[in-house]
Amino acid sequence: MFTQQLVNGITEGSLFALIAISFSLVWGLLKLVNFAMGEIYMFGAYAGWIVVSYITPNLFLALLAGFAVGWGLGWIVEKVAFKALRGVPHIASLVCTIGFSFLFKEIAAAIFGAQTKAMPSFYSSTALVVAGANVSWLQIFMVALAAAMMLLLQLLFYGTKIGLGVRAVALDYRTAGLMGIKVDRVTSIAFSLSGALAAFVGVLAAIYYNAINPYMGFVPGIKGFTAAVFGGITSIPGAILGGYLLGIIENMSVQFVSSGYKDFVSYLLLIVFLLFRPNGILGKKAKL
Amino acid sequence: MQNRMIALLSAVLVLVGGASLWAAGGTDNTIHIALTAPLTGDYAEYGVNFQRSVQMGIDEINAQGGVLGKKYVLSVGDSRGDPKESVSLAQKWTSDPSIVAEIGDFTSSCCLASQPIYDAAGMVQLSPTASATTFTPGSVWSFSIVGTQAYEQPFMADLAFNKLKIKRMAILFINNDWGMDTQKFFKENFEKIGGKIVAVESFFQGEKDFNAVLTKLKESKPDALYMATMYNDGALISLQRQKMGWDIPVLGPSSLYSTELTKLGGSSVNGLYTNVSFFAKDTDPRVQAYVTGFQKRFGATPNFHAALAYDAIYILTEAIRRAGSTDKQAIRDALAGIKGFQGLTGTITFTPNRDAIKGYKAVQVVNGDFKLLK
Amino acid sequence: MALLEVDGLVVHYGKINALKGVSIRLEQGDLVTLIGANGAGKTTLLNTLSGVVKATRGTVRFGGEDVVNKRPEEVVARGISHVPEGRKIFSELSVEENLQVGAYTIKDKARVRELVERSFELFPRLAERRKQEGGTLSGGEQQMLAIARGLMSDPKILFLDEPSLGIAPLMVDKIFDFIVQINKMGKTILLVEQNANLALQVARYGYILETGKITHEAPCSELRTDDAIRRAYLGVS
Repeated sequence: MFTQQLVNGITEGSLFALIAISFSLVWGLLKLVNFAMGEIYMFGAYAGWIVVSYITPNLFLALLAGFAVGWGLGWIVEKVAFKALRGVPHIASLVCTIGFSFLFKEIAAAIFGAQTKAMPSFYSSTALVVAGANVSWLQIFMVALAAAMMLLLQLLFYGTKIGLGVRAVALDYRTAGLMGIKVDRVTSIAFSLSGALAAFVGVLAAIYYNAINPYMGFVPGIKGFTAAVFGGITSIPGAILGGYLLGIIENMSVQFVSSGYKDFVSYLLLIVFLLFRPNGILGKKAKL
Repeated sequence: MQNRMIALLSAVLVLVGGASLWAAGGTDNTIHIALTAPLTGDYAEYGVNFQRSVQMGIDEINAQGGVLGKKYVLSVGDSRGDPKESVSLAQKWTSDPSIVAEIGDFTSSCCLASQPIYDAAGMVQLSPTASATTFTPGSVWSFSIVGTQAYEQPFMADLAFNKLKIKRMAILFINNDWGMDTQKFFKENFEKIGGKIVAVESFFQGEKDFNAVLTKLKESKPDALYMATMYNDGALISLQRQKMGWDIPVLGPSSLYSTELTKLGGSSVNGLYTNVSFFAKDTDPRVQAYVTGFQKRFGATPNFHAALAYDAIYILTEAIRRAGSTDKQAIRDALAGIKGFQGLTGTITFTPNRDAIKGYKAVQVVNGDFKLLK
Repeated sequence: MALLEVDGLVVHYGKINALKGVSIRLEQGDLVTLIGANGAGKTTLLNTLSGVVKATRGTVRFGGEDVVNKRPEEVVARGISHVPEGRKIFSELSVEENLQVGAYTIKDKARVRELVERSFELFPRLAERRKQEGGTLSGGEQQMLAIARGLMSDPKILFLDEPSLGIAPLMVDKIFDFIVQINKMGKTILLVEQNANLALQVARYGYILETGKITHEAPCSELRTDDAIRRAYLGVS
């Protein structure tokens, strides 16, 4: 059963890690938290659901649709909560993203109805049995896709000009501006990317859990934020580490402590790290 | 001088009296009642069904001339399934002198939280669905018509142990007032008649990943799984259980009875056992009139909870009719005295604790459809 | 025609009038210094010229074109490069990446590679540390990197804001040697300094800025011998 929980934990951890990267990206650039991240994830799930239920049962198209919708929503949140509110205290932007979180939920409830909708399964057959643990094709697919996504991001940040621009703006946006980097544009792109990533995860999660509703984003939003704080919100490797560790710890705590403590363990970690090690496991030294 | 004083006093009295009459909704020939329900949030579907059923009942009653010759006016408040919101709505309703009674809320947690407000103000709090055993004994103003877990769970325990011959049961419940109660009464009754509970696990509202907890429950090698959950969580749990390749009989309380369960759960909920007090395919003409009326107006099939809300407005109307006035105390006393009320969800008789004893029928999901168990 | 011609520049920070009508000119290939006390408005002037701060009034003509209140990336693309006060190295980027950021407005990748190699020829110390994080360099090395980064956009004019600030004295001389060398390569330089002694020695022409206004301007050889300036800025009583 240990192996099975490890498999469960790694799968769930992949989702947490990707959401944590979204939080890290925004934190790195603006030193702010986008509390509407969970709702962008939710809209991604709906976009994927529309594709597979009404257009074509193609998983990749669904993921692409989620990515695109998340990109657009990230762009809107950045323009309203951050760009338009530049120069006013940070708390205004934070409150504004909380507002977006409620707004998105209610818009989704108004459009799609508040009831849970079914999402079809993909690749749900068992691929292999390792030490008594069932591993489904979907789990393999999710972990591989998350890894591919992280690799792509790594290439983007360390192998492209825009990636260099994002890192420079994250470190010192004033000087980056002096160097001729269009700070607003780079920020907008990175913010949109963070939304796209969250929404992409939303599609994956909808397929994994086979259900979507307007309120599905709250828990993963908090968990993704926890994972980011846990691993070190200033760093993408930290966010990845935090995501996987959180997934594994949660599943193990169900097995060895009690299922009632699953969320408790996460929130305890969040509080402990915020209080005693706000830079996370990888700490300040790590870079974006 | 004295005459003028008396005239002045009379004028004041008339004004004050008139104002209080107006405030009580007496002069405009209407009866104001309030509905508290989770119209948004996790329980929105139940709340929306509450609103639909109550509005449908009110429209029917008003079309037939109302009650005591007065028409109903409904105020609706959205509690979002949040006890804090339910409390602030209770404060709003009880501070409005025109409102004479309240229907709601949906969850036991919300009802329990707002109970002290209705108790202090002296207003009927009639919940269609609150089934926590601690709710109605808490205040003489609290009523519930769903039938508490204290009555439903012995039925389910008997079904599992005696009819289905299940000896070892694992329980998965949602960690809230309702879920705690449900699992507790099931466990007590199942063990009393000789069954063995091999594992009990829980989850919090909003959880979507049940892989870990199912893996752990599977380890206890039960004969069957008892899901003390709402239908949407129940469907999710079933889907993830099916994907894990864990094939096992599943049972659960009447909260699982919904067409949404089969729609969401697909083949994973086939074979699931639950019970109903209200069955949409019932041949009773009153049930059919309600179901077709509901379908025509809202394009959806009403479930058990929707039917309970419909019964709630009718039983409240019956109480107002018997009371012969809109006095809050008179309505409460009349409601408490109701016996043998023929509702869509069965015959309702209030116990001294103001909850209801219902009759239960076992059902099973067969090919995506609920069938009465013989 | 002058390369850079600033005329009657006025800048406000809210209600504070930081520049009150500043006019300066730099010819092609010139090395001009701007001297002033802390808070006189030197950095404000540079920030306005590079588009970070908006001017209320006045004109800035660069190569005959009006560039006042253009955005920083447009200003950089036209050939103005600003090496900020305090070096402002991207501490967690490598030396090479810092240089690449300096060439952000150049689209041709081969050209960027060429410019990186030219920087390493000019500053061999940086070549040895090309993979090292900027934050691990010494103050003097960081200043070299900052100047090298400023040259990466291949500018026509280079603004240097307090290049001697917080640098070990030995290193300061070295950096000023580089400044002269870069000027000889044909780059026009506007040097802002508190260390007036040093600035007046290397520059050809100087402006004195006091509380937002130019109070003196003359060839450096004259300023060095002006009694009032000697007392105020060169520490001679």
